[in-house]
Parts: sequence; C-alpha cells; structure tokens
Amino acid sequence: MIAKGVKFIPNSVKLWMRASDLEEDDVNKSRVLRKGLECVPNSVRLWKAVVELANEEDARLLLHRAVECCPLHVELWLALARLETYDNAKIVLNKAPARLPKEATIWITMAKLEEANGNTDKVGKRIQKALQEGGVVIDREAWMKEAEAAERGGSVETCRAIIKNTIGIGVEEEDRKRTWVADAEECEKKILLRLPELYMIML
Amino acid sequence: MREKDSIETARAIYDHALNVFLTKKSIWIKAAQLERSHGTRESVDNLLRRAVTYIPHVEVLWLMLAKEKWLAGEVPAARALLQEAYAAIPNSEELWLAAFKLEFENHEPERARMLLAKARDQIGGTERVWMKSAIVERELGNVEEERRMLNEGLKQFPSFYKLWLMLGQLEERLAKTAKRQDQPEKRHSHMMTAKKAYESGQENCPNSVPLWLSLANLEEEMNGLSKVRVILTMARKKNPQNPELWLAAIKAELKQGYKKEADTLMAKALQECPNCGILWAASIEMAPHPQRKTKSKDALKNCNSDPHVIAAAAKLLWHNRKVEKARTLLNTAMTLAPDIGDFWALCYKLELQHGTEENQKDVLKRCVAAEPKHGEKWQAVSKALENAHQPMASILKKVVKYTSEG
Repeated sequence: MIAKGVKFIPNSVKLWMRASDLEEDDVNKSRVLRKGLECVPNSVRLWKAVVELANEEDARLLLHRAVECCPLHVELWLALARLETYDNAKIVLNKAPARLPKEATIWITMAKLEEANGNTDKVGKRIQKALQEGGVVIDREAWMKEAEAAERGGSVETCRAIIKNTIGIGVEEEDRKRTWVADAEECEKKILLRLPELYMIML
Repeated sequence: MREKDSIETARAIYDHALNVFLTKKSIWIKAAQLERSHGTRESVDNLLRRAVTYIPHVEVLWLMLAKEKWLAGEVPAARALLQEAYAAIPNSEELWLAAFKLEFENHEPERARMLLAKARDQIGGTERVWMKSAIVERELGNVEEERRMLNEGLKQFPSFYKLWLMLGQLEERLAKTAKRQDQPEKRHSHMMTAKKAYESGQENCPNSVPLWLSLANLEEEMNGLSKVRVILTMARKKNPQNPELWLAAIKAELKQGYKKEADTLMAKALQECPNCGILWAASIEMAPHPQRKTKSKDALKNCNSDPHVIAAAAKLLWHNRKVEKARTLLNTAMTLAPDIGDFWALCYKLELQHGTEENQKDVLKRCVAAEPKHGEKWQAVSKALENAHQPMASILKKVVKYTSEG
C-alpha cells in the first residue's frame, strides 16, 4: 500500500517516512529515505532522518548536500560544523551567514569554534559581526540565554563576549545600573520562588 | 536549584557594568559578594583592590578587603590595609572599630584596648567606642573597668540601649557567680541592680525591645510567670504591633505548659500583626501536626512568602521526608534573608543528614560568605561569651548541635 502510495504521491514526506519505518534494517530504511529525497530534496525531516541512520563519514557527506538543498536550516549547518575539522568547519560556517544572515546561532557557534581552537581574540569579533553585519534580530533576553548556554558548554570567552556586546541593547541610559544588577542576580539564581511555586511545593 | 546558576555570565555582567560605572560602590559590593560566594580568594582580592583604587573614600570596600586578608590568615596584611584606608579616610569611626576588632578577635586584647583609648582620644568617645571599650574589659575580666566604661558611656549617650543592656548583663553575670558560690544575698542584690539597670534603660529608651525582653527574663527568674505577664503587657502597650514581644509572651506561657493561654495570645498577636512572618512561623509549629500543612499555606498567603514561614514550611516537609522540596524551600529562605543564621543552620543540618559532602561544604562556604548575624537560635550561640572569637563555621556547627539538643 505504502509503496503504491509513494508512487502516486511522491511529494508526501509523511509517506516516505512511514515507508522507511516499515523497513527492518537501517540499510533499507536509509535507501527509502534517499529515494524520498530525490523526490523531495528540500525536506529537512527526511535529511535529518537519513543523517541519523548514517555513520559519521556518510553523515558528513549527506550534510554537505543537505545544507545545499535546505540552506535556511541552521541546525543542519551546525550539525555539519560539528562533524568537520576546525578548518573545514570554518569554511562551512563562513558560507552559512550569506544564506542565513539573521541567525545568531551560526555566529555564536563560530565564536565557540574560535574559542575551542585557542583564538580568543577572534571570539569577540564574531559576536560583533553578528550584531553589525548580520543584522541579527534577537533581543537582549535571548542573548543572555545564549551567554548562559555558552557558559554551561564551557565556552567562557564566548559567554563574556556575548554579554559585553549585548547587555546594553535596548536599555535606557538611566535604567542601566538597575537592570544590569538585576540581570547578574538572576544569573546567580537569586531569583525567588513566587507564591504559586511555593504552593506547588507544599502540595 | 543551585546547579543552574550562571556565575560566569553574572561575572561578565558585573565586569561590563563596572566598566561603565567605575565609581558606583553598590556594583563593586555586589560584584565582590559574587566572588566571595563563588570565586576564589584571589578573585575577591583582585576585585576589591581595583575597587579601592577607583573609589578610595568608600570605607566598606576597605573593610571587605581587610576582612578577606584576615580570613586568609594574613593578619599583618589586614592591619596594613586598614592603615592604608585610614590614610585615605582620616578619623573614620568605622576604621577605628575595624582595627579594634582585628586585634580583639585575634587575641590581642592589649592592642585592642590601646586602640580604643586612642580612638577615644582622637575622635572622642562615640557610643560604639564606649561599648567596645566595655567589651574588652569584660573579656579581660575587669569588672570594675567594664562598669566604669559603661557608666562613662551612658553619661554621654543615655539613649543608647546597648550600654544599659550590657550593664544589666554584667550584674546578672555577677548574680550567677554569687549563686555558684552559694551567696543568696549577694545574688539577690546583683539581681536587683540588674533590674534597676534595665528599668533605667527603659526610661531612657522606652522603645528598646531587647531591654523589655531582658527585664521579662529577669523577672521570670525572680518572681515567676505572673510578673512576666505584667511586664510584657506593659511592653506591648508601649510598643504596639511588635511581634517579638508577643512571641516572648507566648513562649513564656508555653514554657509553663499553658497551651490554651498561648493559643489565645497567638490569635491576638496575629490580629495585631497579621502579616508578620515570625508569628506565623511560630503558629505553624504550635499547631497539631495534621493541621500544619493547611496552616503553612495560610501563612504563606498572609505574609507574602516571608522567609520565616518558608523555613517553617521547609521543616514540615523535611519532617514528612520530602527532603528535596525542603531543600528548595530552605534555599529560598536563605536567599530572601541571608542574614538569619537559623536558616543556615537548618540547611546545614539537612545536608548533614541527607546531602553529600559537597552539599555540606557548599552550605558552609555560602554561610561564611553571608555572615549571618540574626536569628533566635543563632544569636543565642553567637552572643554567648564562651563563643566569642569563634569563626563563622564553628558557630554554624554549634547552632546545629544546639538545635539538635532541642
């Protein structure tokens, strides 16, 4: 039935996924997905599924194709960068902003990549570039979250660079002191439980 | 709750804020506190060094810096810093007292005494200088000198209640010694003098709750509950809406086993101070066990999440073996009121029973950084004469021990 289905409606991602699910082993699953991609090359879902089944080397090659076909999906770029060597990752990531000028994540990943390779001086530049050239439109809070995520992932320099460059965004001159102290206290997890949360705990 | 904190991010924010506001002392202090809780000795030292370079006229930054040195065991360095500070801020009472404290706490009472004499000379005896002068003499066991310092101080500052309190305590101490030596008359005469000191204190500072409480205690020992009731009723009349006075009255009843009277007083107390956390917290603990949960919720609602109530709720959860929840609540209480040592002791006790060694160390470190000074049980230990000069960590452990004994 499914085999018939994909013949009649070759553009249905759902059917391709289902067809691959019905296969027993990974090789066949993957073959079905690849066939699917021939018909629907811009399906992120199919790309992700096929990459998941592949070994590292194949995944790398697949992702190179994937970013060509779906250049607007930041996760694919990042997944590819993770599988590449430092130099290749850089090449990959350098191509990404042209396609995805508004994705902060790409720039942040580039900053982390530089930090991991000991190029501390370039970390700040990446973040600045995100703000200047990329026209990245995420707000202060989202940047803060990225900074905290960078800290948690061990990219301390990236965390610092993000804060340094973004902490003043959209804050009125006279509010700066108060806002920043509040931000820092929140990071220190000095946020307090509010009444509903306290109630929940008491239940 | 604690594993999610983002210290590097917080540090980066302060770093940037300090670049913009180079001379704002509040940010320097907050940044230093962050380092004290989460950083290293060096990071605290570096930060405060920078701070006093930019704003050398701010006493508290010097004091923090000197204290860090002292805590690191570098007393001479701390001494030198205070001198450096004194050059930047001449005639500062705070700095005199800090220099005194450094010597006093490091078992140099003679140096401490000399510093105070100099301070009295140079900046004139302020009320606190007189008080500290009496404290040194108390430590050295010079009863007559202690009394002289207190009386001299009171001549100039009769409305400084702490001097009256110390005068009364001096007499009570002598009464205790007399009791040990089996001299009932002498004991009685010292008790009477103590009473007189508290009463004179009251005339001069009618709103000092500690004086009322001391007097009530003394009366309890001399004349029993009926006199305590009179005193505390009078105290409440002169100081309406004071929860501590209510609580003392309630506890006095409970001590004698008058549960009903205590409940009645509590109801009145909550009517007069409906938003008061310490009263609600006590009322949770006075309620029979099955009702405590409902009571806790009422309490939380009525006093807008007061830390005392949160801590009482945490105790209840702990009792019901909900350790993780109890821990979360205690941490909230400690964050809301880091100054209250009782919460730190409670949390440390919880970690001793249920936590890892790392949890225990973490609480200990944060407690040392927070330097709590208040709390009923905390003060009972920290102010006891035999615990003078004890470091924060050992006070914490003693409070835990003290509360475990009931």
